[in-house]
Amino acid sequence: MLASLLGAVLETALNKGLKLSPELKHVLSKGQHKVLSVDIRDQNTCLAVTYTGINIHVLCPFDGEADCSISADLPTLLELKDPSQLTALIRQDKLDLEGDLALAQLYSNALATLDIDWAEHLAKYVGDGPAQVAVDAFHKLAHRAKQDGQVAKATLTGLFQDELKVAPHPLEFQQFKQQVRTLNNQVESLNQRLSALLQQNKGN
Amino acid sequence: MKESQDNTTHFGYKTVETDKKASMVADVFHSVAAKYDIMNDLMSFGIHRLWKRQTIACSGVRAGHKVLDLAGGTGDLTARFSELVGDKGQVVLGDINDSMLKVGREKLRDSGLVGNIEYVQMNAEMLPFDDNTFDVITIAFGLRNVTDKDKALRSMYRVLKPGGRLLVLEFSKTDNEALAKLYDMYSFTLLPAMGKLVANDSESYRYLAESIRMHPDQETLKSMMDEAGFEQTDYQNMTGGIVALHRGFKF
Ligand SMILES: C[S@@+](CC[C@H](N)C(=O)[O-])C[C@H]1O[C@@H](n2cnc3c(N)ncnc32)[C@H](O)[C@@H]1O
Repeated sequence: MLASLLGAVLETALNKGLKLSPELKHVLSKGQHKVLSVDIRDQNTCLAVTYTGINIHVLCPFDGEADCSISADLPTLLELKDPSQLTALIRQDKLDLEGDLALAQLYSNALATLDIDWAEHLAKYVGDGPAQVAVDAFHKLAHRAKQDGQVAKATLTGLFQDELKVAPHPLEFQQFKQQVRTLNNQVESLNQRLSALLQQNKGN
Repeated sequence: MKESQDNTTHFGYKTVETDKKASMVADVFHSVAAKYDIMNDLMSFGIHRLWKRQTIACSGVRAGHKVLDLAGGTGDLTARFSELVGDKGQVVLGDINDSMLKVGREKLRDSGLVGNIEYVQMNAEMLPFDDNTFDVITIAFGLRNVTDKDKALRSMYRVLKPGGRLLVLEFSKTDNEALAKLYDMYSFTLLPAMGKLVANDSESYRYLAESIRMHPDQETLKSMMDEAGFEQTDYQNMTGGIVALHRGFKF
């Protein structure tokens, strides 16, 4: 459900960008009705984008056939805002690509022409204050994710838990929070075990 | 729902003659059609939009596909499918109730969608199509209203193309006790009250609440789908199991 919500927010934002930029329409029309799937590895989420000639649709969580599938962690995917990075990232083995390379290139180009005010879009859902907090948190997160994927995951879940008061259903969020807490604890104890092991190693 | 020996079936919690259920269900939806969309948003706090998004994301729909949005009502799923299948594809909005179809048609026409949508009045139990017609069939919040669900599932299987998928989005059973209690309170007290306030029709909304409780749980529905011939059936719970999305393939 969180994935659906994320997809909905992303879709609204992209379509707003589309409305404001005729150039974007032109770029995307070359890939009309083609489906690009994006596997966000560190978030265990797969989404797909497609442009129908009218709107951009974000399908999330995606389960279907795509013309091009890419897979990478979130920080790497964000680098695609610079279209020249695509092939470099593939070469560095940071990003897997299957299918139509031109389609991925096309969306990378599209991303480059987009200047989305994410805070504004989130504000629609959550009000101004939390939106700015969420966006700032997201930027920080993207930066930190480079250093530590594990922490990034906890932060992202925490972000949705605390900053975005969009709760699809208050009860669902209660449940969800509990799960996050458990996950946090598990990550924490894993961390401790790892440092203990590292210490041991040093000792030997 | 299984018919019992004496030809009765469930209408919410009431037991009625099997051949009467369809027309009683029809009355419910004639009566809610005009206010259906606004009630949907109110009743689910808007979450039904997310449930529907998830259904479409899991449908594997592609440009050029032929889609049946069964019990499609006011056409929420149809609207999105219509865009996704494009000019070369087609979406059939099928519903047994002409009031719902009419509201759906007007709504979709107002939003500029026309070209590839067909509106057909039909009963899910006897789909008026050739074998192997559709790439995707969805039935969202519709199956629980159908009198003979097994027959309906077999009918859907028949008109699905090999390689196609069926998605059943429907209220289901939550195994969280606290959630179940709250949900009961909500749907038997608050929901009919809202129904009365907004649509001046608490009876219909009481029927909705009752019909949800009488609907088979996740595993039962899954085995019904297996029984009808579907393969690789699975389901995912949403909102703590209050809603489940079942999926099955035909190969
Ligand atoms: C709760 S509405 C769902 C509408 C829409 N799919 C949605 O999710 O918003 C249920 C619909 O099922 C239709 N329906 C009930 N029994 C049916 C049957 N036997 N065959 C086809 N449609 C049926 C009703 O007319 C009604 O429009």
